[in-house]
Amino acid sequence: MTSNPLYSGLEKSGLEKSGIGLRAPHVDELIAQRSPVGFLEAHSENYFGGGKNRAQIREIAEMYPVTLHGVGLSLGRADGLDQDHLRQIATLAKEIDPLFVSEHLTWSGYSHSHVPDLLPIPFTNESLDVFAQHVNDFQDAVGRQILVENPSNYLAFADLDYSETDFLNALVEKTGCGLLLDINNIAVSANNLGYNPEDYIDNIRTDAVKQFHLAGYEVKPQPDGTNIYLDTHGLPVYPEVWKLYKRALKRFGDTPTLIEWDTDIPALNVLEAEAAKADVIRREAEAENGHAPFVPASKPESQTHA
Amino acid sequence: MRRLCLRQNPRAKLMPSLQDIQSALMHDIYTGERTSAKYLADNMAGNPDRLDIYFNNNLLILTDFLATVYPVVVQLVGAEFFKTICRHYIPVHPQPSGDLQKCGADMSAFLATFEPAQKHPYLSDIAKLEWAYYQATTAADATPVSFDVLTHLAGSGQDFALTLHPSAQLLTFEYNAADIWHAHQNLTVETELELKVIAHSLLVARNGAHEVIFKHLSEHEVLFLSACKAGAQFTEAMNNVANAVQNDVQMATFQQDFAALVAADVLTQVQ
Repeated sequence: MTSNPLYSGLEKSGLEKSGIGLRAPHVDELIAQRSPVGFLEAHSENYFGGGKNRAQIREIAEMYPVTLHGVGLSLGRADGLDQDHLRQIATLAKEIDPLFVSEHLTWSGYSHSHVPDLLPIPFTNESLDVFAQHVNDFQDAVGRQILVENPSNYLAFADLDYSETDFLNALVEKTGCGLLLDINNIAVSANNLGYNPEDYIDNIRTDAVKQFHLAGYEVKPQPDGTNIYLDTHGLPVYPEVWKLYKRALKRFGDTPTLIEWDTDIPALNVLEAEAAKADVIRREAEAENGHAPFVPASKPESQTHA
Repeated sequence: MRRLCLRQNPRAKLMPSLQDIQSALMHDIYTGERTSAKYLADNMAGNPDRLDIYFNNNLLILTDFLATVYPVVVQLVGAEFFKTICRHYIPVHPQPSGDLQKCGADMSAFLATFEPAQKHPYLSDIAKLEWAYYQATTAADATPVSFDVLTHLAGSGQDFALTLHPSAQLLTFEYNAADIWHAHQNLTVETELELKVIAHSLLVARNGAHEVIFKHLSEHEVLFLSACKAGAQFTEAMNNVANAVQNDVQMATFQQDFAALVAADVLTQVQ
């Protein structure tokens, strides 16, 4: 088995070290002193405006490899993308030249109402057509391949044409997009929807995964005796998720990895320690799997969609 | 003769459209109803009780966000009453775009008529000021007009137009909202504050150092800035002021105020 083929032979840029999500409480510290983390992931919408935020993301992008991760474009919405939202992401991407631009396999807006959440889509043929069209529009707007992330789901719909993994694989086929595999989300959704998380990893095509996310979830007991896993990003990564991460490293090869933490945000060194833990596992996985040393991408190659 | 038989796929007939599903689910998330339950799986993953997760998440995240936009309102009414305000506000003013920073624009108007808040008649003014403050911090960048550029434009012999920087907002208040706002910025210092009914105009804007400033405006500044905002040429805006001032002292005061506006980076040139 070799390193993730998507990165072989590409110029080194520091992505052999794991990254962390860029969060407001850490920004001044990250600017004052270069953190040892490999890269930072900024939520696109946090930097739509100008002023101090925009100045700081420009400064951050001068110091670190940066990825842009959207949470509000609503790629799965049935009534068309918000063109102004799309334009703002494209402008930001042009300004800071991120390593990756990513969004979610979800929707969050319909008509004039939106939610600050990531809602599940029914995996139907209609949804696939809508989603693929919007991914193509997104890739056209930013002039590069985008990554689509698997979400945490709490609900499933009736009358589906695809499993989530088949839907993602078909989306890659139709659009040429890449995948951002959130290992924590796999654990959360697998528990909540009742499937095997290892099967999920094994069913994802190996030629599209360009980034991993890791995070912590919370367990909320339900009145019926079951447990719901809530994707709160407020705790360290669970042992179950580290185990799935090792399986993913074995299947997909060494892949840029990011620690997400969004609630009860701890000190920067706590996140740095989680990223370092991921690095140790990555190096162990390389040794076990006989990987060649990881050669990361300075920038993913732009791909034109079909 | 063979009869043509039109057959429908029974499953296709039953399948709801993506629009049907999203319309129903969005409705449920803002109302707590369960109109989308009929589209869910018929196993534990389709338990309609799970709609509450999305309903609660939405209310919680939007309430937390509104508390960051309206911290002085929260201090004035207390965290619990603010949650009550949000429970009533959010269903009638849903997040308007995928950019969360656009959520909360209608809070001032809402508080003006929200019956349980009427014992705090100044709340609407405070919310107006806090929304303007938040907008000023996040507004788009634009190059402010400098004294050098103004001198050059004035000497060019051609008229030109100035407008407000995207962060700059021209507002009117009934109460001394800025005083109340300032008094709540440092709660370790006890400040005696008198609530005053005093109609006035205020400019809220972000200066070049990314600081939000509040500037009380004279009637002549309001006249000038309103003309600029409406698209008037510089000469016309200045003539409005010249026609309104009653003596040289007032004109000299306006000229000082105008210089302060330029120094505060709140004017840009219309290209």
